[in-house]
Amino acid sequence: MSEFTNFVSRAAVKASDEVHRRKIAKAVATYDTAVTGTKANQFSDWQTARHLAAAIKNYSLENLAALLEQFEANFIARGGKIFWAATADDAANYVLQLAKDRRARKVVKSKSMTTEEINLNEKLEHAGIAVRESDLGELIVQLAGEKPYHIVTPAMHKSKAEISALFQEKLDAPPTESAEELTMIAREHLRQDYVTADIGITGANFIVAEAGAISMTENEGNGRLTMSCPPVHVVIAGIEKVIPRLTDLSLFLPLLATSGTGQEITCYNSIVFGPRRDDEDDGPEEMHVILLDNGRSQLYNRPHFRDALRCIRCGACLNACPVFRAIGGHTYNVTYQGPIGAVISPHYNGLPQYQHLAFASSLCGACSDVCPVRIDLHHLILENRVAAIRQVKQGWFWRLAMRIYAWMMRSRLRLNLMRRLMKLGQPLLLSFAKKTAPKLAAKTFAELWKENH
Amino acid sequence: MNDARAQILQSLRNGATTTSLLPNHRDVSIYRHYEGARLNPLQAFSQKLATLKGEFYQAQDETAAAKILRELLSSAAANIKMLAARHRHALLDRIFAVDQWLAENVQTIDRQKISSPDFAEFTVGITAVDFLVARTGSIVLSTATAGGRRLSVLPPFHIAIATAAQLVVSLDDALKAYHERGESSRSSYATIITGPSRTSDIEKILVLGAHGPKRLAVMVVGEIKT
Repeated sequence: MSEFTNFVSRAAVKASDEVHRRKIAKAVATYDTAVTGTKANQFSDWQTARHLAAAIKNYSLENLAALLEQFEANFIARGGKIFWAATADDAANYVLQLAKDRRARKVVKSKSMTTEEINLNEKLEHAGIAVRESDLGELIVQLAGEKPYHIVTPAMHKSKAEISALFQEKLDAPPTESAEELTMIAREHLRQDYVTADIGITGANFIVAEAGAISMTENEGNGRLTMSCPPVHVVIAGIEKVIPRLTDLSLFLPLLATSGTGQEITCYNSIVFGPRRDDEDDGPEEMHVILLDNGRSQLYNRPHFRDALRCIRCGACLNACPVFRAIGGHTYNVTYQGPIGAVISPHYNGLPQYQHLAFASSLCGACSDVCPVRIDLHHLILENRVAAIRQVKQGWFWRLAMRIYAWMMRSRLRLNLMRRLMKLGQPLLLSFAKKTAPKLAAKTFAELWKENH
Repeated sequence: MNDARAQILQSLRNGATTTSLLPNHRDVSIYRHYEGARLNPLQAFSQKLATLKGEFYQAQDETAAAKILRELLSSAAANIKMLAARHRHALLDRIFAVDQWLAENVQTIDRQKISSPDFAEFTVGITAVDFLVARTGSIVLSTATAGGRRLSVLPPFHIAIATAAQLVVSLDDALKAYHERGESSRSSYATIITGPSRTSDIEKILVLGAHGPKRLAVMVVGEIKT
């Protein structure tokens, strides 16, 4: 239970950090306003759009093996290389070997949570290869020596002042409180890296089977530069990213942008079909796509949990989650934070170590309501919680409390008695807690009913 | 080919369940009847592009296009060291043929020049496009049409030149047309560009010009059918 205990104490500290809560509340409020506006402006029927997206993803999952083979055949025909990675280490080692073979000294990366999942940066740096994160948010957390705070907004928890201090220390930049100037510092810092890097590494938002292509969504242009300049382009993508048709992107790109950032469509959506063709003037000589399993095929074969593979990593469930907003992304201590992380991480990483995640939820269902591909997240979290409880022998206090609880709940009389006791005990209990709770009503529904009928 | 391939595929096949039909998003109406429906698609495109902080220009013929291009480059020169590049393309060639100043001040890049590290010094990239998308205000570029991958992303000012015939209503139309070109005429890379580069990574404040072009101008050349 040690990771669980650690998690609870980290969460308690973060939840009462008012500065942190104000920063997150402000970011989420800005996001909410944008998303509400865009949903109304762009879609006449958001619910049907969600159903449609879920149905296309379900079809893709039901035909996953065939679609992956279709992608592979089309991509190889255009000169691309495919590597199937069973584990995170297999994927990272493939990149490492490639970097050694090409005598790479520097790689430039665009934002990719899948590369976080396989701990790629640490492995490359350990081998003496410089890693340049080029997404602004990723650069900020990399310079700070932190992990991404949020799957879409990695530096959500940093204020302008904190970022300026970081840039002054690490990049020798002049102090500024302007978001624009800070962005320009990052732009100048990375400018040369794109043209001098030996390998460009990106993720993929979608794998398009019929076109043998990958699709990558971004706003900054760092992804486009990463795929355009270095002589080698490596893509790391989970096997669940497949969609069947190129035109499916005309649904998924707006859907991802709406739920991810509240944009109708993001600034750049690139579709890459392979390495540079002979008749093209530039582009990488080599392109490798690593298809990563790392627990996904296991999730695929678990009842109910396959739905979680529909996820398009928009981050909407994080923003909607009252627990995420209170404890923040780092407290989870995993690659994928928030509700979707609580569902998938235990299966990617083995349950015992990650059982605390199943408890990082109020099971309120806000995540399931906002999910653009209709994953029933809170019920899947509940299933993980059941598994976690079954796996670990609970302490004597917990078992006793549960027994008393069950005994109390089995009779109306005892339930009424418990309510009276709670009413007396509540002020005492709350004096230990850091939060306020609604007062218990003077009379129960049953009592009121008796009086009035 | 490695063992993992067979293992992963086998595991996915073992678990595969009944197959549902693949729904077609064209069969249902989910998008709001876009504002542009009252306008002609080109007006709709230009309005959308303006809300995204992109610039829109329209020229009747090559001579008018050359004049606008000269003005654009002169305006840019006030802020940046002017080093402009374009690629070989029938429409661009026609425009540059009518204006000596343009021909002298804009370099036509080739494979060698664009791949050299010096190309990072260029401040203006002039390219053709594949499609304009009215509903989203997007332009679609592929490497075969738009002079490769770098020309439209590395310079801080991107000028895209199109004809009205390249305009389609929705992203779906553009992707469908691109796919139907078939394997042999498909580039290795295509990108859908919707406004100048941007980021909101710092306190969710919108900043234009993160890593890609800070400025995007789209010019449509030729007679417009209404």
